[in-house]
Amino acid sequence: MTRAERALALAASIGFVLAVWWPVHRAPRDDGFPLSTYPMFATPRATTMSLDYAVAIDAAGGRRPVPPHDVANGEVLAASAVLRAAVGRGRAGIAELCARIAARVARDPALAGTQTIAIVTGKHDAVDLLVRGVRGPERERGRCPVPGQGAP
Amino acid sequence: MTGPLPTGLALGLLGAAIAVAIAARRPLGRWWLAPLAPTRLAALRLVVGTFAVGYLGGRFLHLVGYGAFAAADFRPVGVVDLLLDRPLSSAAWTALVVATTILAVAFAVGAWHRWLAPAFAALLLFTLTYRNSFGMVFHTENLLVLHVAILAVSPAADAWSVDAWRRLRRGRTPPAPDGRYAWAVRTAAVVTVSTYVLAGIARLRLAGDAWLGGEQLRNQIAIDNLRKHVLGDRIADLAVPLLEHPGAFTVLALATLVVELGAPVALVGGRVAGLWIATAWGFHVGVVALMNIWFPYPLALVAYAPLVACDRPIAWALARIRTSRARPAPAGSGDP
Repeated sequence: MTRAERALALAASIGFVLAVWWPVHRAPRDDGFPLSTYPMFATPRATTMSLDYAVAIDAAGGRRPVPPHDVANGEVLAASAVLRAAVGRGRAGIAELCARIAARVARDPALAGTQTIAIVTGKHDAVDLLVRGVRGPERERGRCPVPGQGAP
Repeated sequence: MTGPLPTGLALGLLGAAIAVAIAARRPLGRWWLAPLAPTRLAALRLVVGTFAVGYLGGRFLHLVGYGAFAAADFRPVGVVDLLLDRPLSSAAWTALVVATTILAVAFAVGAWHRWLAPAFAALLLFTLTYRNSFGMVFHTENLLVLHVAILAVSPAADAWSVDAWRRLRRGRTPPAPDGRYAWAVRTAAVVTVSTYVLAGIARLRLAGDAWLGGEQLRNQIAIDNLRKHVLGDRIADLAVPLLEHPGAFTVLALATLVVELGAPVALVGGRVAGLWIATAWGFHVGVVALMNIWFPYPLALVAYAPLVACDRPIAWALARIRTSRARPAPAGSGDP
């Protein structure tokens, strides 16, 4: 290894390591990719959380959650981000997303019989809901019919 | 002490841990450039490249699906923020994913590495950053992108590659062990370790001492599973049974910090590295069991490949293949 090669190798090494450590100068929540502060699961939170989600409603009033692949692309966090952004845009955003979800649900055999999609904001205590089955208050933001299902 | 741990103190702890870990072996400069066989670096390229091919191929439709996301959901980060102010067309995005996948194959087999590997590193960076540009920054692909970038600018195809095969056919002798095959392996190892330490520092900065009580970890797990429940995803198998036992989370919270902030000990190598790798891998298995969140790169052990002699199993397998080819066929097994 020549002296120039050694210098280049060390410079490249230092560059990569410094780049990986660079985000430590940012606020922990100021995340990026691929240079990250790695703040996952670190933010203090209570067990109660307000969430936006989509609900599939059938003719008998039965309600089932709409899975992430009918909202976004199969990733629950991506679906959550899409729903949050739509609710943040107000009625127009909710209506647009609701129609998009309804079109996907119409082709989803797992949700056959769904007549209506509702976009809901619910505030639940995670332990109460998961362990005891107790749901918190829910507020319907908008609803739309599933194409071809003859919803009222 | 309550509140976030001062960053300076956390950095001091980290610096001390790294210094102790490395000084236990030999002076930093000599350790960093101590000669390694070209096969060691090549093995790392093979392992990381094969993972990249499998990851991009296995998630091809999922990745292409980002082309159908609404423009209103576009929240560019990193290089995508520098280059784009609106999402790509679906066709352009699909073409990029295809090109990245094809270049991943070239990277894995070490074909025209000097030119194609940097191109692959750049495309992988852009493609996976684009995937993270729709409102949610994931942390499952950072190490893959960083390791590929390091390998792309190193002579990682001087052995066990198409390039090396072509050179041998031209009559050139295989290269000897050298420091030029060491720096990228050491850098990738330090980068792996650094990501864990950074995660530990983020935990201390955001949650402070409260993290050690275990309640924050319990709440994180509860909230994550709540999100999955209402959004129609599968909740983790162990989450609900464990949520009823808050005391267990104190142990898990402490173990998480020990794995993350103690990562530099893996640089010592040998059994110490093996022990840390086993513990860190167990941590990721725990994340699957409690949150149903998969970190494929460490779960497949690829993230830890720079920390161990990953060329040995490949060399062993190649030797077995050569031996079986050289062995004469048993009597009576020939054609009649």
